[in-house]
Amino acid sequence: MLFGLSGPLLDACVLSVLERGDTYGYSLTQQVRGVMDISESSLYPVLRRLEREGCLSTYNQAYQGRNRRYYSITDLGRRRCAQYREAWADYKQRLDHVILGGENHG
Amino acid sequence: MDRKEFLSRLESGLSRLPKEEREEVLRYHNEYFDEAGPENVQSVIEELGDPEKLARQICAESMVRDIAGNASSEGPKKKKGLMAVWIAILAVFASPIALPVAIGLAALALSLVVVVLCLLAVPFIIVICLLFAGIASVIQGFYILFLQPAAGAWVLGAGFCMSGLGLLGLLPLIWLAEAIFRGIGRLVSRVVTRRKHA
Repeated sequence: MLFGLSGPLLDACVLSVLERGDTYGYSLTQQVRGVMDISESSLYPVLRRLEREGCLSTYNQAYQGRNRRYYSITDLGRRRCAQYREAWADYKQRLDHVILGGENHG
Repeated sequence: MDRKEFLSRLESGLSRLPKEEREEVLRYHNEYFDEAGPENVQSVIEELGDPEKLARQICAESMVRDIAGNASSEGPKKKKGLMAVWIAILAVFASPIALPVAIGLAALALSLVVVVLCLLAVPFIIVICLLFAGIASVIQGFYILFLQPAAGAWVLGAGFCMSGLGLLGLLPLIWLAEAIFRGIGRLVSRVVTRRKHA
């Protein structure tokens, strides 16, 4: 993957994945990794920050004799996600304008 | 590098974090290894990269979060907890000063009580002296009355006067003393309960 992922974009990705349903760290990482380059790092700091900010909550669920920690998006997280989505649509349009050039102008 | 080495290197890089936070980090990455399965240990280690770098990243994130948490107005609960921590730190640093100050204040309160006691004792002693002297004079007056009636009558009269003054002074003094001690007691109990509520 050529384009790296960090900061708000990573937050937006994590929140978007969680908006589709609760999941645990490994599965979440695989899903985010599927679209973006997050090698050589862990999603842990991002998850911890979002949890502290109140955007997601956690709960444990037993799985094959051990605990899985599931992450669940909160109402605040949903609102934040909606903001990101709006900002992203705007940003994407302007990027397309610059990178893809005249396509939008026809 | 195997899983154990990765986790122990990660842990040693997190020594600056509080214990619960450190355990949380290790719990997450332990679970991550578990989920990936034993056959994927090497690829997970490659994915996560350098454990020291990851530890630094987590520490930095934690510090940024602390600063942001201090500055942001959201989360009054956390702020309150933080306030308690600051007060505790302040209390520890203030103890070399606060302790002598507290002792000084206690001594001051004690000396106040002593001063009040002394001030009360003076009129009490005067009144009691008057009473005793009066009674003694009355007895002596009776005796002198038989030898020199005029002088005896004078001493007897003086004795009655002194006893009367003493009795007159005694009752209001007792009331005054009672009122003062009740006041001190109320003051002390109010200070103590306020300290408890704070």
